[in-house]
Amino acid sequence: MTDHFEDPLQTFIAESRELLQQMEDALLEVEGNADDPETINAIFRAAHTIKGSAGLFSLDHIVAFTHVAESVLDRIRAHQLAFEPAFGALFLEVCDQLGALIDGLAAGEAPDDAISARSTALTARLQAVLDRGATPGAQSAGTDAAVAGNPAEHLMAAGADTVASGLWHVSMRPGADLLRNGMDPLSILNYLGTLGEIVSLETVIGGVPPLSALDPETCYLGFDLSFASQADAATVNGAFDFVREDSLVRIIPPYGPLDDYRALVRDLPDDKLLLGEMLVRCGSLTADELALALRTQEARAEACQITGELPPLIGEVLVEQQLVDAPLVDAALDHQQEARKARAGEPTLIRVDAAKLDQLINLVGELIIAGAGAQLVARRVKVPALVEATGVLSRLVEDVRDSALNLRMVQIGATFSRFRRVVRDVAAELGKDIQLDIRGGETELDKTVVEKIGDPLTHIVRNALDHGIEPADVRAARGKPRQGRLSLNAYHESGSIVIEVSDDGGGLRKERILQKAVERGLVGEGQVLSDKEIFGLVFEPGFSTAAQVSNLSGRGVGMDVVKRNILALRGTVDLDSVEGQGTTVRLRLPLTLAIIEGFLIGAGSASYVVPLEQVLECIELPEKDKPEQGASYLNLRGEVLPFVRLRDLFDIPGEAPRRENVVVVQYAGERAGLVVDQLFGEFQTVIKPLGKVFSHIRCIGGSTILGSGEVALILDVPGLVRQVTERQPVSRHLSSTLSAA
Amino acid sequence: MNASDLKNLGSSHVVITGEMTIYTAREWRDELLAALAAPGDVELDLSGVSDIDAAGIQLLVSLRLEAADGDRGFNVRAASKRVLEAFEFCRLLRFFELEPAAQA
Repeated sequence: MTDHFEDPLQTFIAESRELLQQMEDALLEVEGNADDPETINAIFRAAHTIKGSAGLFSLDHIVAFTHVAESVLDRIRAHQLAFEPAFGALFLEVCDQLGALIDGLAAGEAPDDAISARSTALTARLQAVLDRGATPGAQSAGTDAAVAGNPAEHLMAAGADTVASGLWHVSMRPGADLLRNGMDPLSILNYLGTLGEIVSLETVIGGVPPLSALDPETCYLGFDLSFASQADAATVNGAFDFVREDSLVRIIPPYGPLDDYRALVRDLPDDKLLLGEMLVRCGSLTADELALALRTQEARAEACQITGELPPLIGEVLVEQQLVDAPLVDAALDHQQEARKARAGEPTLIRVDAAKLDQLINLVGELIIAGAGAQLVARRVKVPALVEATGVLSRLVEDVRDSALNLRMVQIGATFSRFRRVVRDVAAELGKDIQLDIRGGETELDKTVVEKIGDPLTHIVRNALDHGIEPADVRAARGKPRQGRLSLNAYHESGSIVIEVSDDGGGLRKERILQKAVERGLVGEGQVLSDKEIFGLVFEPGFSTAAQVSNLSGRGVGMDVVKRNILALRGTVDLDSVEGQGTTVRLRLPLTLAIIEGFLIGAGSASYVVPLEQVLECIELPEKDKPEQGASYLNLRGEVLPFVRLRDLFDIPGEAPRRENVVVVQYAGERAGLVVDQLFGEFQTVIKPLGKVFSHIRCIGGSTILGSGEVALILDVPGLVRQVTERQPVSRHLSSTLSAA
Repeated sequence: MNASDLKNLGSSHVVITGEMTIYTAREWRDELLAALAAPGDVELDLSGVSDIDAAGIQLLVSLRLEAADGDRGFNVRAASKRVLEAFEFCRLLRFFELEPAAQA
């Protein structure tokens, strides 16, 4: 591979991976619904496109491998071969093998012996299917006919689609003024006749108007002809030298590429159907070639335009006239409709390097900080016009921020559907029957978050499959449906995305978790814990190792790792379970990791930011609830609200002002109050991560830079809420903080 | 050739003689239009046509199509060898319901 191929090659790799993903999705879908031609077509298309692109890069090993698979799929979609259940597994293997080949390519390695051997083995299996499926009537154009030969031959035949006709084809649409200029198209064709033999000719009379509307000096006729000649291209072309300027002349040499005929059909102004028929009647194209031309047309982006114009009836008419086999036309029509549908449904997309996007977001972050600085200066100098100008500016910057962040938002559906495969494979491995249910796939979240939740999510799903859902027999004995159910759900909730993984399996056994926790000294003997706290224990490090878990509840393998990963994303994880009925693991993640709407508050001389979405309301701290009186709860309209003073939490020296405010924050349904000195209001917050040195500090999620250049700390509301609401041994660090306060 | 060459023998019986080419196409079109305006089947005698080119052919094609549209009969009573050859070359013999020129 030479260097200048590198970039397109990367695109090929990325696209192929996407296509393989689509192929896999379609395969998993088809297992449940083998009759859906759309799905079969999607699988075929993926294989077809990969083969085509691989051909461009001369990746012969990929082309050769994909070709056989494509041929089988082509048969299936032409209904010459039924989709057997075993095919699903076979093609999933094909998918994996292609993935391996692509991975090898991405790593810049030639396929090793093991991979090559697998290619060969799979090719043989596919070939066996093909040989079995070869029926006498099956002859759906070039690709299939070539399959019987050796691989090299297929490639030749499949690579260069040429027509079988050994005749020249000429299409001529004389310009309107040809006659007026003293030329007679017939004499030109007569001259052509002297260069060889005109085998067939069609006069195109579709353009001739009624007599009353006819301008006798304008030429309305067109001609298509095929002729046999030993003359060279220059001579044949030369016959049309005088008319080329104002006429449309297309000359295709013998055994010309099918593509030229496609272009011909596209370029000529006539009715596509009549033209197609004509090409067949001229003997320039066989019926099969016409069908193939129509069919493969769609696969090519360049041809999109004309397919949109093709009347859908073309196939029916062709069949009526027995020009082509019905299955061929079916295939052509299916493809057409599909291409059209794909065009309609598919939003126009641009592929952008993620790094460029990150850079943009960083710049927007800087812009926000600089904008805040400008606004601050404007307020200080008190020039009204300047204040107004910076106000407008900051509103625009806000919009820019939102659009920039939006660029990175992706739907979680793609991540979810990857689990179809995981569920299928794990279920097959464990001999369980499990159905995956996906909801909320359209929920959006930041791409950087999506990338990082894959592993934790896989862990949770595997756990649910492995230990959560019981084997079918056990389920039947417990009066549950034999088929287990795993559902993935996503939705937005107060600035976070919530991802739920639920199963209808055995659930967690509280008393055994508690027992284990007491044994390990995590919980004191006789201590009373809420359900949530008990389930929370599963996530404690060192609590659950595989061996212990399998005889404890069969749950929680490496859950502490999951929790750590989620916490690193400023998210949280909790778990609900009803014994015998199932378990739900709930992940809450911030929508974005870069910029948030913040609420700026002050305590002492320092400023802090709370994510605005987590702020419920602000109230003044009532005199009677001042902590001097020892209270750390206040009465909020009849409800108990635990609170903490930031001055205490961060050990800020000095006297609190006479009037203090309470910011009521909420996270995951829990509420808490933060007592602060001052409320500054909304603030665009660009999140800057804290250095590693500060990683052990709780309650702080990051830092940001204020317009004045000062640093403000971003409060970690989940951590704070937990600290304030749970004063339990699980959060010992908090008790110590509080007792110190 | 002039308009007197045209002898309107019946309601729509047209006899064409001489050249039927780009040079005379305009005149012939007007004659043929007149024939179309008259009722009854369109009958053509092309036996006197000495030469015909694409302009002539498209006139006849147009006439034929329009007669068919108006559900009227169309009949070429006779045609010169030159006309039959041109039709044969253009594969339009069947369109005009004619037999190839006799080898003479």
